[in-house]
Amino acid sequence: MLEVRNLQVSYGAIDAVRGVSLTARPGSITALIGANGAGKSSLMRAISGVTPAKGGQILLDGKDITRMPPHERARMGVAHAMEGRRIFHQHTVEENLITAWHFRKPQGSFKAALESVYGNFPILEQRRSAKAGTLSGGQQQMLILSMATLHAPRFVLLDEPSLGLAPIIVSQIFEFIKGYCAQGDRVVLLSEQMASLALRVADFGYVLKHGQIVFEGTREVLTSDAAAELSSAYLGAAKVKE
Amino acid sequence: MKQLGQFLTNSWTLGALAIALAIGASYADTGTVQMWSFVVINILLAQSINLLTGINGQISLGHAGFFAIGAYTSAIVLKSWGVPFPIAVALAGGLAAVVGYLLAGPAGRVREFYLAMMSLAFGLIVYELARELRGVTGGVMGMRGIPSSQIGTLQIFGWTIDTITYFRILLAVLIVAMLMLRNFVKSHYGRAFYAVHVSEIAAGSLGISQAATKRAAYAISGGLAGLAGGFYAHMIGYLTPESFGLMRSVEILVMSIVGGLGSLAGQAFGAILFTYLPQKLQAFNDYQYIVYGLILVFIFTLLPKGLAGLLKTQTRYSKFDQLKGMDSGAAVAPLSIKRGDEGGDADTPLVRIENIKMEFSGLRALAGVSLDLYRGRITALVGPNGSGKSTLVNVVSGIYTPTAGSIHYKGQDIAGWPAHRVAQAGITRTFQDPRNVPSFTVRENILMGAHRRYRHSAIAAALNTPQAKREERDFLLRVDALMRAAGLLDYADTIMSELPYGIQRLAEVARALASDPELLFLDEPAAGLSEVESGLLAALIRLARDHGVATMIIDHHMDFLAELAEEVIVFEAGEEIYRGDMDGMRANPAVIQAYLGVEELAHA
Repeated sequence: MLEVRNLQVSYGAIDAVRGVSLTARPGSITALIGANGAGKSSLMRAISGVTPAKGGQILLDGKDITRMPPHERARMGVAHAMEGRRIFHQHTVEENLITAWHFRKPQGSFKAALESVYGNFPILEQRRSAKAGTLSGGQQQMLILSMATLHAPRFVLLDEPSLGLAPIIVSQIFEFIKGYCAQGDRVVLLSEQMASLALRVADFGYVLKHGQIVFEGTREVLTSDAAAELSSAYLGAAKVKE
Repeated sequence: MKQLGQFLTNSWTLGALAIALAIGASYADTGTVQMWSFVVINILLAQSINLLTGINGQISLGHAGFFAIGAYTSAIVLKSWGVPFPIAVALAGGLAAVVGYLLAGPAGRVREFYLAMMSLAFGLIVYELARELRGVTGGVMGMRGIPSSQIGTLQIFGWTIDTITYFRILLAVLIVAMLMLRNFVKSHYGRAFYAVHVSEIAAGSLGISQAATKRAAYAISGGLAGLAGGFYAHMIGYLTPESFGLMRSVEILVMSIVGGLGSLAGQAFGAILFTYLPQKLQAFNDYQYIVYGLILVFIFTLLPKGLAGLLKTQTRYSKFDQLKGMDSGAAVAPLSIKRGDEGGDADTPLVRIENIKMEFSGLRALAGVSLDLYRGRITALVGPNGSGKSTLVNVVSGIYTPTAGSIHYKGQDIAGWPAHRVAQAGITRTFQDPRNVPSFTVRENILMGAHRRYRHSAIAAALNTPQAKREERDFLLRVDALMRAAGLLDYADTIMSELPYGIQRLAEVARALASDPELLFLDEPAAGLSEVESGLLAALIRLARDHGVATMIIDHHMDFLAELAEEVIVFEAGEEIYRGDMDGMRANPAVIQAYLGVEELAHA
């Protein structure tokens, strides 16, 4: 279980996350929903340790990791697919996967992991020798997801996995995420701008605005009409300088 | 700090300071006035490299080369041929400008490390020439006996110039140069210089030719450094190649960086610091260079934006502040209304794309696509990632030359035209990732879009002629109207990089409209926008359509497109698989198979 208690993240004078508490349970997908600048990415970055938390606590299965460096969190099974398609563009698909494999002390066989990747996304097998930079946006996103989940991490953070993708690719990627989460006690936290999109896969959602949670509930609660109205009000244009 | 910065960069403060120095020179001792003259020359050098490196983004490690060309030119024409002093320094600036213009040819083709190495080579060549051309420059022994103010041998039309008068002349030249630079930098030329710095591709999409811009930057920068060189030669009266070596080039660059790259006022701070610092450090004897190095490390670490950053002064790239009071009060239309008089009305297409093929080293991105776009009509282009949508936009906007096919626009085949020429002809595009200038305000970014419509020359811009002011004001008012339409007025004077992504996207679309385009391509404009921002974007697109702009939108949000587009075209693997209305597309089996998938139907 992933627990965040009263978390705060600041960049200089700007408070990006202002006291957020949430719980993401194993075997279910939790969504962070919010407009640009609501603090979704900052929250995820604090959980994976890329950005330090200014205050509050982050707990993995009850263990406080708030002050732990990012590589140790990764060893505990935290994987973070950041925004902006971070892959090695000049390397081939397979080289990227090999690199991701060596990010951590390998357990099990690379061959089996590779087979599982290619089983999930056959298009990556077809393009295994292509440079990652020449892949389409959808294929790149598949590669990133595969790299993030190569070591079967227990805590997966996905920052806007559907951004800029064709509807059919979004469906494939969401299917993959659902399937991944269903295996064992895995915790998936993903962020999306559009509530409707997020709730296609998520079991539970938190709506963020100006770095605070303004609304939360199960998919059923969030998709009800009253909630839809409420959340559309919350997801309005982000005001700056606050 | 901010108040101090504002006080120090205020025109009145600077004017008063200049007058005080000009008068004070009579009472100070000659050595002090000589140091002041060095400061002025260093400010000119710092401004010179700032224009090229800080603003245009072309690093120069050989700037002493221009300085040397100016110094030797002026010295030779005055000493050997008796050319009067004012003409001699003008020739010095002129020749260095010509060399800069020529250097822009090879230097404009390379970037980053290669450019750094090339500019270094330029500096070394000039230095070696100064050493080896003994008959002209006096070689390593140096050139002596140059008429100079220091020893009282410099005359202008029979009137002897002493150190104090020389300083006053320098001060006057500096003030004129700084005023002209300020006007220039705040004009569409200055914005174009910066746009090329940030993204050459985005600059091209606004009708800015990167080659012409770099030529201008090298020529003006070279000219300024040459002018500084001319004044230097007649101040000290003795030239040796050692004054123009690599260390000098590095010193000029360091002065500019410490002052604050991109800031005009910062250059003066940097120059003052680095004229006095070496002198003060002589107290450290053998250790002076170590101390000097430590100071540099300290400044680079703690002041990434230089002294200008410390004083929170920033050069703005529009004349908004000067022209603020000039609002005519009359409502201005954000766009002009386009009619079919130049070809292309409701029935004949504005642009006819025929059988475009695009291959990248054997990989086929477009397999012969044809389509027409009409004035006042919105066409949607959708398809899986990698199906060739962006490639088509890149072909039409001149970033790629198609392997085959033609693009007819206003009676011409524009296939293969360079991007800036396509943009100048009225075809504007946005990018998947917003390519604004992050350090500009929203207003400056949108104003940059109007680049292709400016008519006044560089000289008019530098002199800030009434025509230049009128044009700038007209476009500022249009930008206001566009910001009102886009809901951006609240952010008008906020720095772009401090704004959320959605606002940046809207600003980029507004910038595209500021070019008053005939044809507009929007590449995934709604990606990453919230519902409210999407609504503002849709309103902006409708505004363009109602003014007769032919628009093509690429996007994946079907609901967003359904509200706007009359016609939708679907690509798959570089070929068209569907053309028609939205409902037909949603029901089309081939489109569902390739693009929508079944899930979309349930959630549409």
